[in-house]
Amino acid sequence: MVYAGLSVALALACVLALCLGSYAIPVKAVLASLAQPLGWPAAPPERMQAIAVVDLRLPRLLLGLLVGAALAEAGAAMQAVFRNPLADPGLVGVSSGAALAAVAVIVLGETAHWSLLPMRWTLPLASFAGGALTTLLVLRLASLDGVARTGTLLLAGLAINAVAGAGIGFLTQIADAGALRSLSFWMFGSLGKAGWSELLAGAPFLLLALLALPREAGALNALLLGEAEAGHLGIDVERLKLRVLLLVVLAVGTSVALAGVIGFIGLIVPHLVRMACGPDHRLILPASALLGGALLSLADTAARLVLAPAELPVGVLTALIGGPFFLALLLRYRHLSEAL
Amino acid sequence: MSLAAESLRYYAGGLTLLDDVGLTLEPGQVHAVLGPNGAGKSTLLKLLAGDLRSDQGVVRLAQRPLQAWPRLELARQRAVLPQASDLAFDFTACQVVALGRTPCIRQTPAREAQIIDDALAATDAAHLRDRSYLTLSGGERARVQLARVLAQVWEPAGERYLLLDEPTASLDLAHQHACLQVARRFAAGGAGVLVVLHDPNLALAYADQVSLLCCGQLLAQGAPSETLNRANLERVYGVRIEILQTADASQTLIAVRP
Repeated sequence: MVYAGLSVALALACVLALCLGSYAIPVKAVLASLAQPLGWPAAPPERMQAIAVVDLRLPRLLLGLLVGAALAEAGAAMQAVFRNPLADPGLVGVSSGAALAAVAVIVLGETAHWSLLPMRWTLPLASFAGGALTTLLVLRLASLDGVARTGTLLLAGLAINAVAGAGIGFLTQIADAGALRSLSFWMFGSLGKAGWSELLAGAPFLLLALLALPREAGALNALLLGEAEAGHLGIDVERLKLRVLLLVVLAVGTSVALAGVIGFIGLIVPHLVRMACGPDHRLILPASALLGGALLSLADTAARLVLAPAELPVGVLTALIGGPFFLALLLRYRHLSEAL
Repeated sequence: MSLAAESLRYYAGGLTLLDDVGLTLEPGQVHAVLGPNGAGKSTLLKLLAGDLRSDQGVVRLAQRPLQAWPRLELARQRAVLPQASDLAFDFTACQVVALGRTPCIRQTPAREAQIIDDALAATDAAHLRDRSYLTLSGGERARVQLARVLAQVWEPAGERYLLLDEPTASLDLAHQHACLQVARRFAAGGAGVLVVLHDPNLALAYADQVSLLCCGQLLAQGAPSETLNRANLERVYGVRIEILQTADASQTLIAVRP
């Protein structure tokens, strides 16, 4: 049932993302453009339309699907590890830590001319390292007796976001304008720079995280009972947390390297899924991935349309929807936030 | 075969929380641990569960030190009910109990569902089956958690261990007795049940063995009627105690004189 609904949403998101934009392309022309490189017989599409679909919209759609799925699934997994439904990689500061590391690598790489690897590899590695360091910091700050208190978690995130934001601002000011894609790209992520080469560099990491996280679903369910309780149920809690957080950071770090900081997907999507099908992670993780992919590409299509022919960073849109949603959740989980 | 602790010592924060405590939990027995607040009851239970590691002494399950057991094998033969469990996620009672089956070798789906229902029924929580755990009262939550722990070692019958930390703390009078009757049923099926209690009358009525702890030390250990005598209880709790017999002399009761 849930999966059927999600598949429909996903299909709809794909069609809209390929057809709509600064100029609309009819479905038939989209299909023809997609069929041509695969060698299927079809009426040859117009050249401009084919380029728009295959070289611009398709990689952007795929990146949106992957990044949305990865962020949503990572959010759901992080909430389980912290045993707190308000934990989100963005709010907690992991995303901005990753972004700071990515920006630092771009700026330093530009000025120092050191680079052992091509940038499309260095960048995800740097964001992964930045995200990992931030996660360690948050884990240290917020975990008392195994439960991450909402207040501490959010305050730690606030401080980390402030520091990382300042660092990104400083680096973008001193950097050669060409080196950085712009401050707003990192602060409010965007799928606008997606091309096939970025997609191919990032996709393996995102897919690895997406496929590996659901394998931990049963253990994450048990972890919700408490760390000692999960231990009594035969789970090696420390190693489980390490594995899951590494995958979360892999998903978030890679997403940030490819698309900047896109907030709130990791918070909204798992909540919508929980409302529909309860707290069982065997369902939540895959369903969040599907819904996250669909929602992010829908939001991206909307972001391309609102100011057409210019475009809004999609992170602005997700923050616009996500902020009020988060406030509503804070009210709903008052009993949790009171337990500072 | 048994779950046995020898001369356990445990220090924390410059204090000796347990000093030279030994205990053997035999299959088929209900072993109650009593003592005033801060006596070290929960520390002892955590050492027996392997949550804490003793600074001296060793806990062995079937002659093998606890730490040498693979976690999963351990989880298949001993379940632990901690004092308080919080859960911020909206599971139904039935889902909570199903989590108890995490380490178990899965039976057929029908059998699994049966075990969960039976465990809920055993703690008189069958009617809570589809309720959200978050909407349950303290006592109802305690019964659902107990059902989860029972489901973990529901089968195979035979040697299993249950470690229950104050399972009766938030239960009403009837459910306190129901809880210990379940413990007796498990013991009759070959399980060793360790239960931390506050009410000496419950220990008197249901336990085979009693360990009386005070200030981290074992004050007395043995049959309930011998360990829970007037002198021991007055010494441990610092209140005046009277031991009464019911009119038909079938039952001994411990009363506190104001």
